[in-house]
Amino acid sequence: MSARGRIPRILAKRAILLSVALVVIMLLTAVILGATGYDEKILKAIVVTELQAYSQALRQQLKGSGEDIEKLIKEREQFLISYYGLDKPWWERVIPMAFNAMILNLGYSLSEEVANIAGLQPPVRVSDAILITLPRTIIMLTIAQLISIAIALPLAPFIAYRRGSIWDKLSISYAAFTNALPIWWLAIVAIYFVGFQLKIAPTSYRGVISYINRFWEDPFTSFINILYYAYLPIIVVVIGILGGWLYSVRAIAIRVVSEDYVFMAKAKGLPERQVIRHYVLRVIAGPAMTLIILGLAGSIGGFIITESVFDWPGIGLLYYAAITTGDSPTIIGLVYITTLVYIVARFILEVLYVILDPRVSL
Amino acid sequence: MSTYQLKRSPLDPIYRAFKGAFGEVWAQSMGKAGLILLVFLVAISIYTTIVMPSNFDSVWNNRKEWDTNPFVAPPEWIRFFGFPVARHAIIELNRPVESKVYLEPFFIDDIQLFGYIQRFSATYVLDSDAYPQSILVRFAEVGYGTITIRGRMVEPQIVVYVFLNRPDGSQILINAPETLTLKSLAGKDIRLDQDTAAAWIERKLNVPQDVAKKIINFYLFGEVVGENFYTRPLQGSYSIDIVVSYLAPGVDPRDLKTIMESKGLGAREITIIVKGSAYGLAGTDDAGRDLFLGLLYGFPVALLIGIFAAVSAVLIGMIAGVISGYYGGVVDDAIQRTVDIIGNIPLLPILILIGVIVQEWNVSAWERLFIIIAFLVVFSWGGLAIIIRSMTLSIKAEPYIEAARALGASNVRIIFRHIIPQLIPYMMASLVFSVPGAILAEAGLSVIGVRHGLPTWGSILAEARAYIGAGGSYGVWWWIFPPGILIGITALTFVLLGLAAETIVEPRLRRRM
Repeated sequence: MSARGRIPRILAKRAILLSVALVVIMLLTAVILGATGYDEKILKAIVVTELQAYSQALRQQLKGSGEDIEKLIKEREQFLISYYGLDKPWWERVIPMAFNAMILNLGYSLSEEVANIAGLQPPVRVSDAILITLPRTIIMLTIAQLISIAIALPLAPFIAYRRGSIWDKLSISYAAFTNALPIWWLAIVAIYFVGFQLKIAPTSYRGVISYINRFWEDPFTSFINILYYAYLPIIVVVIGILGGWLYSVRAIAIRVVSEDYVFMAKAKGLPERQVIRHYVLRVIAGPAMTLIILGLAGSIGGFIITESVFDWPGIGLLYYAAITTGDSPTIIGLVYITTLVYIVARFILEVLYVILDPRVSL
Repeated sequence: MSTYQLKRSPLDPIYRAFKGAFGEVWAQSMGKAGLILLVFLVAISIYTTIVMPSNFDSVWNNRKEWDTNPFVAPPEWIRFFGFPVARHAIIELNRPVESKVYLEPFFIDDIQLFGYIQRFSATYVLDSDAYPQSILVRFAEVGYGTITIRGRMVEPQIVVYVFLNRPDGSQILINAPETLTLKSLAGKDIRLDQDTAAAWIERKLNVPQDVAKKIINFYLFGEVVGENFYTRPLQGSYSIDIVVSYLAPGVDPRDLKTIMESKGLGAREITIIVKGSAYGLAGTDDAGRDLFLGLLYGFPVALLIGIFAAVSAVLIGMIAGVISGYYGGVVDDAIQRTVDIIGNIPLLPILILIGVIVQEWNVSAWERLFIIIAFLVVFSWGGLAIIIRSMTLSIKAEPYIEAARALGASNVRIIFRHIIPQLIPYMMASLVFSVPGAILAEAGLSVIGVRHGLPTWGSILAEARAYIGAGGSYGVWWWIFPPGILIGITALTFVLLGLAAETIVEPRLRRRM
C-alpha cells in the first residue's frame, strides 16, 4: 500500500484515540464530582430549596387541611429525589452525567453567581452561559494571544539568527522572568499602579458585561468602553505570554539556523532578510503552527486565575464561579466544551501534518 | 582497572552523571545566579524551620494571638523614605506610681473614686506627623487568691479606668469601665471603647460624638484644624494613666490594702501597647499578623511543595517512560493511552475542583496541601514519560545494550546500569523546570480562594485580595507585593537553573566560542 493510501486509516485511528480520551476525561470528571459527594451535596440543597418554595406555594393556594399538604410535599420530595437521581448511588449518576454533556444536553444552572457573570437571571441554560461568556474571553485572551504571535513570529527567527547577541540574551532573560512571574500577579500589580494609583484603568472589570451584551444598541460607544476595559488585561497578558512565545519560536528556529543549508545560503552572500524568509521561516512554519493552533485553542478555555483577578467575566471566571458555588452542570459543561475544542485542535493538527508532510507516519 | 571496577558501587554512574551536570550548570552565568539564589532560599528555609515554633500554622490562624499589633499597617522602614510613622510602643509597668487608700471620695472629672486605689502611669511621645492606631492595656500579671478578713471571705470588686492625657492638657477616658474580679482581671485586655472615648472627646474637644467615633484615633491623637473637624496629628508627650480601684462592700479599705499587699494580690504587671501607624519589617494584615513571619514561613513551604511535586512527577515519568520504552507491547500501549488522556485534561479546573472539595474535609492543613499537590503530580508526568520513552527506545537499539544482553545481563541491570544514567541529565533539567510549576500552581490556587490553612505566599496574597474585595483600599502594597516577588524569585531560581541545565540536554544550544 502506498504511503498516501494509509493516510485515512492513520487519521481514523487518531480520531478514535482522541475521542476515547475525550470520553474518559468526561467520565473521570463525573467520577470526581460524584465520588467526593460534591454534586450530591449541591443536589440535596437544591431539593431543599425547591421543597420550601413548593410548600410555601401550597400553603398559599389551599389553606386547607395540614395532612393533605404534608402528603403532597412528601410526594413532591420523592419526585425530586428520583428526578435528580438522589435515590441511586453516585456511580449510577456518573454515566448519565457524562453522556448528557457529550450530546450537548448541558442542562440548567441554578447558581446565582453563574447567572450574574452571564448577566442573566437564574436559572440559566448552561449552554447560554458558555456562549455568552466565550466572546468576552476571546476579546481578552485570544486577542492577546494573536498579538503575541504577531510579535514573536517575525522577531524570534532574527533573535535565533543572532544567537549569543545582546538581543538574544535579553529575550531569554525576559522569557525567564515572565516564566517565573505569574500573569495573575502581574495583573494585581498592573491594577495597583494603572488602576489604583494612576486611575487610568478600572480596578474592577465586571462592568464590561453591559457593553458587550448590548453592543449593537450603540456600537461606537460600546466599542470605546470595551476598549477602556480591555486594554489593561490585554497588555498584561501579552507581557506575560510574549516571553514564552519568543523563547519557544526561537528554540524551533535555532535548530534550523544551525543547519548546513542555512550556512550555505549565508556563504552565498544572500542578505540576512532573504535567508531568514526563504530558508528559516518556511521551515519553522510547521512546528510554529502547532504552537499557534494549540495556543489559540487553549485561550478559549480562559485563564481562570487571571480572569478572576481582573474580575473579567469570561469563561475562566465562569469556571471559577461554577466550581466555588458547586454548580455541577456548568462545571461538566465547561470541561466538555474546553476539552472538545482542544481535542479538535489536536486533530486538525494531525490532519495538517499528514497533508503537508506525507513522510509523517504516526 | 579491574579492581577499580569491582569497588565501584552500582550507583556510581548515576552519581557521576549528577556531578557532571552540576559542573555544567555552574559554568554558566545563568546557572551560577540560579545556584546562588538556591543557596539563599535553602538557608532561609533551614533558618525558618529551626526558629519558628512547630505549631506556627495554628498560631497564624488564631486571630487572638495577633490583636496587640496594629491592623493593616505598613512596614516601619517607610520612615526612612520620609513617611511619617507613629511609633509602635510596648510599655511594661511593674510598679504603681501610687497605691493609696482614700477614705473620702474624690473625683476625676465626673468619676467618683473611693477606697483602695492604685495608679499606673506611662508616657508616649508622638514625634511625627501620624496617628497611632489604638491603645490596649493588658493586665499581664495579676495576683489572685482568696482573701479572708475577720473570718469572712471577701471578693474585691475592681474597676479599671484608662485615661489619656494629651499634650494640650485635656484628659480623655478611653475604656468602658466594668466591674471585674481579681480572677477575671488576670490576663485581661482593656480595649479602647469608641463610644466612651467619643463622649469624652465631645465634652473636652467639642467634636460631635458621631464624627469622632468614625476615626477615633484621629481625635485622640490629633487636634482639630479648619472646618469639618479636620484634624492633624498633635505631637508631644502623652501620658496614659491607669486607675485601678479595689472595693469590697462592708470592708475597711485600709484592711483590704494591707491584706492584699501582704499576700501580693492585685495588679502586678501591666503592659501598655500603643499601636503605631506602622509595624515591623513587612507590616501587618487586617488581623494584625506580622507579615514578616508569614513570609518567612512561606520559604520552606514553597520549597517543599515545589521539590516534592517535581521529584514525584519526574520519578513517575521516568519509571513510566523507561518501562514503556524498554518493554513495549501492551504495557507500552496502556501507558501511552494514559498519557494521551492526562495530557488532554483541563488541569487547572480539575485542581480547583479538588481544592474546593478538599478544603471541606476534616484533615490537617498539611494533609490538605499534600492531597492537592498529589493530584497535581498525577496529572503532570505525561510529557516527561513520552520523551523518556523515545530516549529509551533509541538507547535500547544501541549495540552495547545488545552486547550486555548477550553477556547475560538482566533487564534490571541493563535499565539501571546503561539506560538510567544516560537519562539523568535530562531528568535533572526537567526536575528543575517543573519545580516552579508546582509553586505557581499552589500560589494560583490559593489566590483564587482554595484554602488549605497553611501560611503560604499564595494564601497571604489571597487574604490581601479578599481584604480588597471586601471594600478595603487597594493601597496595601506591603501586603500585595512581597508575596508575589518572593514567588517570582523562587520560581526564577529554578527557571535559571533549568535554562542552564538545558544546555546539557541539548548540546546544540551551547554557545560556540
